[in-house]
Amino acid sequence: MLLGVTQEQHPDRCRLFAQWKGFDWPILHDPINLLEAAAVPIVVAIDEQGVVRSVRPKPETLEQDFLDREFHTGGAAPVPMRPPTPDPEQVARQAGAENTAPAWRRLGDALVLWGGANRVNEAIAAYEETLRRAPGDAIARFRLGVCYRLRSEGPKRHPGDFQAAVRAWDRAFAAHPNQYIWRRRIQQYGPRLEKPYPFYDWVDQATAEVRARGEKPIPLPVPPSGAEIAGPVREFGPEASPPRAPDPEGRILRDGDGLIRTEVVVVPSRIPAGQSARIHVSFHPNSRRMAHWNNEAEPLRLWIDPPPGWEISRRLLVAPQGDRPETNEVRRLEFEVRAPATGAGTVQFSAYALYYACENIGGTCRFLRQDIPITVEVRR
Amino acid sequence: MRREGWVLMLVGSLLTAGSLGAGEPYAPQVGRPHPNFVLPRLDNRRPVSLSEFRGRKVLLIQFASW
Repeated sequence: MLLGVTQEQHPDRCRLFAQWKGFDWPILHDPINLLEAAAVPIVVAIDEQGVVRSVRPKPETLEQDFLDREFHTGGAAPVPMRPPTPDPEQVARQAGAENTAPAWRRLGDALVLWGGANRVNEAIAAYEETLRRAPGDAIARFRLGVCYRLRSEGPKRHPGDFQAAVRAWDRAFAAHPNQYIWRRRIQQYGPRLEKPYPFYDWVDQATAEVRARGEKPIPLPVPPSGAEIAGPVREFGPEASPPRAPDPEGRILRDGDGLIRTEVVVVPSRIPAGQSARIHVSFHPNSRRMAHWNNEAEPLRLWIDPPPGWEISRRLLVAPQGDRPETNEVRRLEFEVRAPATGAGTVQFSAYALYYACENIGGTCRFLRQDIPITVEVRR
Repeated sequence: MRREGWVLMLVGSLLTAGSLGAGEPYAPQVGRPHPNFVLPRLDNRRPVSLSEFRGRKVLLIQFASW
């Protein structure tokens, strides 16, 4: 029989993939890389006694080498019976009693695998306890990043979660540069110049084809967008037309009331000279002020002035409007920058956004500007 | 074990779809028991362990949709 294990952050995306491809075998979810595979795909042929008979078997000889063959266990030890599913409460008691890095990491694992998004805060705390005792535990650091990213996509999100995830993944990967699973997690959100493939560009095709078969596609709570569906490129393409700064003299009224909160995430969090980063800027209407977008006016625009010597994919970005006159969705814009070939340190980009935002239902709408500090760290 | 052609094709496509990094810590040894594990199923989060399949040949496929 076939048994799948997927290393992806988002289980629903792999479920859609399996539905699209017609995989009818069980697939398990390993978002924290519990099995510690360094790369996928990998296929292992395991006999009836649980003994490994082939790693990466050749498809052309799979039948004769494995399927049709009888294996004798010889002196191989039998596979242990099914271990109990970790009980987070029991593991928590053990972690408290032992108070060691491995025990706290086991608790983080149990919480994120079996507690899910509801217990992500506890999982983060457990991995942080691990790292306080073992700062060099790159596995715990990668898993901490998984939890931050998980929290960033849910109702318990904290500002800075996404950047914290990227920082954790960066540090983990720096310690184990051959760990491709960890590297892919960064590349999923990273610059096109560094990507091996688009990651989730298949989603639209899969959804359409599943629907055409008369089936209901697996819904995706967090549809992939931006970097996750962008294909790799070798160079930044030229902008369609030379853009003009929309408010060069800074005359537009600032969003002093904080109708829109912005968040900037740099992926990867630090880059070497000459390398690129993808900048994610998200715009969150202030729910306390019942802030929302006015979609009957000009769309949200983001202008970026790169420092001398830096390349930029686009200086002017425009966000799509909502589908109703007033909406309050989070809007996201992404662009990429490439550092000069030499130099290191912290570099500030000058950027600002212009938008029409409204306060309260049917309230006043204003055309506003927000200056957005963007910092990129360049390491030697 | 079902031996439909697509199983072999799937194994072939997965094996040629990407490359392994060097020095991976996941290193199952031929002739040795595969380490047991428990992970949740994608579709219903039910815990599933490798040892549940003792008595059947298993092709364990670690993959990602990308």
